[in-house]
Amino acid sequence: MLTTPWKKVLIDLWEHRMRTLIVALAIAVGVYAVGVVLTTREILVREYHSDQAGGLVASAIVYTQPFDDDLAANLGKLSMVAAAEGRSLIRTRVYPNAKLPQDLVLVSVPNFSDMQVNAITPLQGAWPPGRREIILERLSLAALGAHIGQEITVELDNGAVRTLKVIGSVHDPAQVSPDLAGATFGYITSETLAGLGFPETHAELRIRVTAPAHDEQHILAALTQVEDQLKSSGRTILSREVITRSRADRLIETVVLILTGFGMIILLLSGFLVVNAMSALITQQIPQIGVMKLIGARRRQIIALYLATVLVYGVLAVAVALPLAGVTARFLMSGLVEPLLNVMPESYAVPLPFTMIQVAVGLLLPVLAGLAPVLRGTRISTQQALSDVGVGGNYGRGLIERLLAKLQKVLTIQRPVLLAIRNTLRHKGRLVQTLVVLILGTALFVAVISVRASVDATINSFMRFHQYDVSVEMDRPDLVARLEQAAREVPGVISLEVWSAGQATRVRADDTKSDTFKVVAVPPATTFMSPEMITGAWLPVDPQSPGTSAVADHNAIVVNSDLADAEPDIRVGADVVLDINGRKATWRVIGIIPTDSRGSTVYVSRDDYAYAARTPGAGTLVQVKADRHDAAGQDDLATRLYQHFDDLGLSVSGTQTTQVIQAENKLLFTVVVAFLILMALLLAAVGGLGLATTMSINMMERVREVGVLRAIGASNGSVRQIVLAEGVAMAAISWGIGTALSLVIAPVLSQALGLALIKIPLTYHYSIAGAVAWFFILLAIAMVASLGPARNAVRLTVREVLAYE
Amino acid sequence: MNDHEALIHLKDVRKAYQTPAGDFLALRGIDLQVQTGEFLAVVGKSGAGKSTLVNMVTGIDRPSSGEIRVGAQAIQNMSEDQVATWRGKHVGVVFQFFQLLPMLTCAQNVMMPMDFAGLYSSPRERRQRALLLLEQVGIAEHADKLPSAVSGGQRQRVAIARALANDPMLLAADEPTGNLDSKTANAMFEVFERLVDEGKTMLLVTHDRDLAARATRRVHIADGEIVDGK
Ligand SMILES: Nc1ncnc2c1ncn2[C@@H]1O[C@H](COP(=O)(O)OP(=O)(O)O)[C@@H](O)[C@H]1O
Ligand SMILES: [Mg+2]
Repeated sequence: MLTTPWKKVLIDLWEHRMRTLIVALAIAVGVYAVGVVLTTREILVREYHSDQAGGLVASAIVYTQPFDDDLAANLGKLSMVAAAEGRSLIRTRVYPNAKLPQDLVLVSVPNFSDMQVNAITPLQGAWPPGRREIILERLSLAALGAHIGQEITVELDNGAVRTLKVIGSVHDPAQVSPDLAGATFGYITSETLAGLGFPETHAELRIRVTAPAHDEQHILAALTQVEDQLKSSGRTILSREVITRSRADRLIETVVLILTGFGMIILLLSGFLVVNAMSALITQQIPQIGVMKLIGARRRQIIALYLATVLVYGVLAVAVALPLAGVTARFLMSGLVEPLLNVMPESYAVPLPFTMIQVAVGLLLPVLAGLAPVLRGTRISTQQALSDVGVGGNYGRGLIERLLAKLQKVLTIQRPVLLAIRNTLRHKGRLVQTLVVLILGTALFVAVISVRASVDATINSFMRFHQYDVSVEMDRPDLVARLEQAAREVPGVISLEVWSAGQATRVRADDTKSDTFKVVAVPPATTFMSPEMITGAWLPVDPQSPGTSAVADHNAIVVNSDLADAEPDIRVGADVVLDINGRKATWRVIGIIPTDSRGSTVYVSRDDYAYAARTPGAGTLVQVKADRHDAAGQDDLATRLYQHFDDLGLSVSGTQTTQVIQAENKLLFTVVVAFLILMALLLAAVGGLGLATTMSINMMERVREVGVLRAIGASNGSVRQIVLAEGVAMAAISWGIGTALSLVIAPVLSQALGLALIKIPLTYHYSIAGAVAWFFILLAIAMVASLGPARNAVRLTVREVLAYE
Repeated sequence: MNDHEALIHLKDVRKAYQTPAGDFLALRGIDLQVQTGEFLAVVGKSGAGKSTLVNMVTGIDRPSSGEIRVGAQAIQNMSEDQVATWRGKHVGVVFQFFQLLPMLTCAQNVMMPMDFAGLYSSPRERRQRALLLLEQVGIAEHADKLPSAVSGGQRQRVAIARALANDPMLLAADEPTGNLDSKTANAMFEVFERLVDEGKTMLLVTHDRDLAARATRRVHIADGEIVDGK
């Protein structure tokens, strides 16, 4: 059986259920923030790495002339190479149930039973595939709407049509979602590949190096070994790709950054909140502390009682927050990370130390927060505690109060408003803490919402690269005039441009080669693309015009920021040697533009490119502006363009609509935006709880005052007015300062996030709507938090209130 | 009177309160002895220093100078905690405004001092004692009610029962009847008289001349000095 003092602890907790709830919630928010951050981070990083390790992900890919498995096996024996395997990738089109074809990349795997690089794991159906059978990546299976046992029709580049039977699904950790990758993936044997009319030899050499497998210098050294041997076998290196980090890496790092930064801030704010609640609680309990001292309680005994109270809050908070954080981490993983980044978690287990940290935060945070007020409250002498003077009883002496008194003489401030201001000022420490929480909460909430708006603005800015509706890509270059003529014949086409797309590598001064990158060639004075310039100028309107004489000796190129980052010596004015279709030529860099998020790209004039690629007068992309810009309208036009070109005997490799491009760009940010919104919600919860705690604690303390007011004739309405004025004043002040602060934080945050995620600052956009919405949220919280207790106070009779202890 | 046999012994006790207008002398050199078993009434106008004097004796407040001895203890030298422990065991205090803990039942309020002092070892024994004390002050039937559910006079009885929880040698009451009607006040006084008969020493601050007249001894305080009854 508990002794009476311990019963008092429980009774107090129960009798002040509302306060218990609010304080426990405040702690829970902190524990939850820490929990979500720690567990999501741990599960995300752990499962991603184990997924990647299980997939024996390649460290480099070398594109060379055809080779067989024996050569790959020999290369695998090199000292710095852990394993080497050949792959052949055939890009095909499949006609699933939808109208438009989708890209399906067929990956031929030499030996399904012993994959040493880019291993895939069978999930459903049969394994391994036999002749004319295909196994689809699990996300591709879903994206194509295919099912196991179904025959799918694939169209090869030469127009040949073949059927393959889907016999199962696999997990390939090297592939992200088809929506992010832009293609679906399926795996076949070399025999099936041969059956499709392709040689059984490979064009891609995938290499996994010995540890450290992600170190760029180490990979490059290993590549030198491999390439030397390939060259001595008489092959040339066409291009290569060094894989130190995937796009998923960067996303995950960004998410971890967001989680860590905001998690710490939210913990800090909820710490403030708990300190605030604790000191209010103790202040309120001072007369009772006096009584306990009076009847023989030692300070230590009283301290133990209140710390026990505080611990109960902590236990309640942990009980709520711990499972919730686990569920959230699980949800974020299975709802976002798994389908988008194609990470298949083996377990969602949270390691014990992480659970312990959450428990420790939940129990220690309130104890630490409560310690100072408890020590202060129990230090007050019995006599003072019993008469409850010296606690918040010094109104009238401070600077603000004197100013207020002066102000009162000049202005006619309504008496209820005056009372509200005085009340707010009475507990200055509490006021300051509440304001700090509210101001920081407001500033960060609005900043996060603004970052979200900036993400949208950035996605829109990517569309500056795609100011058309439908893009038709040709299998091979065709005469511009012919393509233009064909497109104009399709109803719904408003205007069009013919572009070219190709590939190039840079040959550096030391004769080494860069990774392969895209070349986009646009007609003079294109209006279908209008990028912002980072430095330099956009492609000259007319290469022969006098204004561009500086580049007259060399053809002009504009590079994007991805390429400028990958090749740091590329600057405006630099001359670079590009290898296009095996021919080298020198180009002059005249400008650098932001990335379109689709990798390293150079932009050249169509005619310059046609000349360099030896395809004069030709283009490969028909960009069309339509009469309708909605997804359905664009889709419809794409289908009709495709059919018309097909009817004319023009071989189309695929079509794309800008609505789809925009959706894909959005997808890239989905994970990050989801985490940002979670953080915004947590900040809103902390801010809202902060206001609610202070308002309701203030009201609880003022029950007697309300009684006095009513005893001297105040109506319930005017009591409510006084209380409301106080809440609104606090909400308004912190909103004002907070939003001002957010104007500083938001651009910094959106720049940092952009740099982390896409290596350029986001296109900054301040969310005025977010700021306004938050104002009303705060207002609503202030009203609810203060009117509840106010209603209780006015419900009591005057006699009851005056007798209230 | 023999100094050494006195239960309470005050020598030149002074108390100054710090106020914005400067130090205010509430007690100006009090010398007082109270014998065991005495029923002492302290009378005087409002603001005379009666409460300050009682607070000195109970250790609720400290003197600015002088000596205070209660039983064997020199109170002015003890720490706040030592005083609290000592008071819990040896002195019962009753106030005008009851000072009960609102969330606890009457019985629980009475049990609190036993819990803090660690006396009457088991919780059951403590409850039995609490019920006994409540019966002695005549409100055993209200034992499990909250203070807010009983009348002012009954609350004061609970406060007295609580003051007696650890069987103290001294009971100090600061205007315990000030908030009660005369009939209830009279009943309360009878409880005190009975306690004195049972051997307790009683220190009672009161405004009520009739009640004061029934005490075994009176001291009159004015402006921080004993003017009569020393
Ligand atoms: N905490 C305090 N601070 C300043 N002055 C005080 C304080 N407590 C009491 N006083 C003053 O000391 C004097 C004696 O007070 P008190 O002992 O309460 O008188 P009584 O109980 O006789 O009415 C009064 O003038 C009162 O104003
Ligand atoms: Mg008094």
